[in-house]
Amino acid sequence: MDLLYKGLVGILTIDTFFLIALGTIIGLVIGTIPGLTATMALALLVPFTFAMDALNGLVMLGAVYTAAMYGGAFTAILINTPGTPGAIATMLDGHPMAAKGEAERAIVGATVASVCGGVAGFVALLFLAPVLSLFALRFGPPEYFWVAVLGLALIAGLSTGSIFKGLLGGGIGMLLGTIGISPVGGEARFLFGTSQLQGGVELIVALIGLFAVPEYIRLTATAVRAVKPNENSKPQSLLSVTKEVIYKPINIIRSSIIGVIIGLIPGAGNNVAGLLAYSEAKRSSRTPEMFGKGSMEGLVASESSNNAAVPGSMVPLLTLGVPGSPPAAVLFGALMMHGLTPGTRLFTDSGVLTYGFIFSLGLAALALLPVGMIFGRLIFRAVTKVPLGFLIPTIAMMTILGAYSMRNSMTDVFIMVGVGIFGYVMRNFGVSPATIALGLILGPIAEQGFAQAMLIGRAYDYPFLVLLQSPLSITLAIIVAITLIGPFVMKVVRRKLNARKTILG
Amino acid sequence: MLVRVNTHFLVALTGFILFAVFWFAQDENWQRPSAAWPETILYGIAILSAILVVQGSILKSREKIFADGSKKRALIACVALIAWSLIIQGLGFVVGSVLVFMVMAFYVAAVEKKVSPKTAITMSPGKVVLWLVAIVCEVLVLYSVFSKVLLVPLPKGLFF
Repeated sequence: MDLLYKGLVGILTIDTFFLIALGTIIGLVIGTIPGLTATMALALLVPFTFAMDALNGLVMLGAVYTAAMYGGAFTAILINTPGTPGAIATMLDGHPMAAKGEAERAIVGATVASVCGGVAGFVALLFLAPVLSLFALRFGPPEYFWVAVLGLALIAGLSTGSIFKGLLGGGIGMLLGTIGISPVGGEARFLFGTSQLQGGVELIVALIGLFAVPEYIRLTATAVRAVKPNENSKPQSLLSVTKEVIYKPINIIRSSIIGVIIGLIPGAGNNVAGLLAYSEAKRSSRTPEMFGKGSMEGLVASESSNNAAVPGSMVPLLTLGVPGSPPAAVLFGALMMHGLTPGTRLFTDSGVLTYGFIFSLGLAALALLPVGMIFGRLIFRAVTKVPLGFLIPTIAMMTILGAYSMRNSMTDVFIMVGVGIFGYVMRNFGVSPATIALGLILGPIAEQGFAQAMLIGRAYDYPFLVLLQSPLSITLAIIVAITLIGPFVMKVVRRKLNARKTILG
Repeated sequence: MLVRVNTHFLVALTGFILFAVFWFAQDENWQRPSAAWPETILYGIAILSAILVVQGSILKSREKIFADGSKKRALIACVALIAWSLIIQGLGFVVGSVLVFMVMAFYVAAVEKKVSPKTAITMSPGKVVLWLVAIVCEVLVLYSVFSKVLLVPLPKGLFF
């Protein structure tokens, strides 16, 4: 308790507040631009923190990481392109809201939800880190496999029209994910005679292609912007939207818990968290038909979850010394360079610094509110006021820059263009690009989990049974079954109830 | 002209094409752990494509495709993006981007004037010069941020 108090006092200085504000602004800018990642921002900023004392350096890096995750929501809402993979689910309802002239309401809603999720994750990290780290240790290859399958089961929910088209889209995404070096056998697959594909299809490059390019083509084809300025409505006040968001606390709590749990699992990432929370929100909603058409519930679920995943991903890093995501790996390096060794003894050997860092993540989540509101409204004005003649080529140039900067490779630019045109065509055929993206994100996780589980299973007579060996994997398998069969059962039950009502009345 | 087709068949056709392309690109020498996953996905794609053919035959629905805006402009957008990617490789990021940006900016401005004359900008010689300066500035600012601050070595090409 003494360490906790000293940690809190340690960050209540003008310097810290300034660094949190600066880190939040940098993170927002990075998060907003598709292709620039939190990992890149952190890696570039680590050298600048050498000159600072350890706590200040870590505070700034924590603020950048938190804000970068939230910044992805802006482009998701305004130009139908997730700035970060975590904002895919945000886009599903955020952009339709913007198209209806409710962009400002969507931005304020996303900001409030992000703050709630960030604070919830911070509370979990502060008080439950040791317990949660034990939970993270229970995740082995079979559990990873089931988490990925659970995510893939969401495709049914994301499909508009034919479910089979959605599933095929997911299959195409998974197929794209197999290009390059195999994660288990180590062989090069589907190179089509060129060594340039050895690195595979980079997720963010594909996301830029799948979401930004079709939007750019649509804008050029129609010469009409999708985001309408809310000329006829009053500016959205923070209070009214906050009331609207907090009015459904269960949605925020459930999504934040999902975010923390998924954040705990090394490799799962906040994109999975956002999508799972979105799917759960849709299933529990009284108005599931509004999802995908501009539902505030969907937007809140995604944003609170992906921001809760940030402190969640810090749990294995700080308690076990296991970085669960690429940004956490950079933070791992930064901690080491500042003389801190992540692991079981971190909280006792360097408690003040560690708790100070954790508190700074909570403050960074709160800083999203003022900084995000100002920044979000500025971007909104820019997207609605800048002439189309400028906006369209700017989007095109940003897609090229974003794809190129991932690996400094023109191959990625051509992959982005190819995937983008393919995504535009498939969208016209009724296949949602989100299903392809989901397959691409989850395919490699499922493959690795499955292959490793099968290798472990060789010791048994029936290797497949290793997938259902632990209570956690059985629980996950049951959730997958409910997710897949549940909607059909509910449909039948509703039909029968309606039929009974008609007979009775 | 609106094109109406059975999109189930089109998606199924795409699925079959991808199945064929990837199936024949598999290597016999892959070990089982590397080969099993793509093989499973390919079977899944083939089965789903077949289901879509059946679904398409039963539903017989015809949906509008490429109905958003002009098909010619959509094609121009695709060509411009490909050209942009090729030109920056040859001429360098700054020179290539300034050229393509200018062409696109004035093309879109002209299209906007046709589509929504009320909100479109009227181009006077002064405004043209202003746009040219703004385009050069935007490209240079992005070039500086990426190459000098973020240390991304952008394509240099013949010029820079």
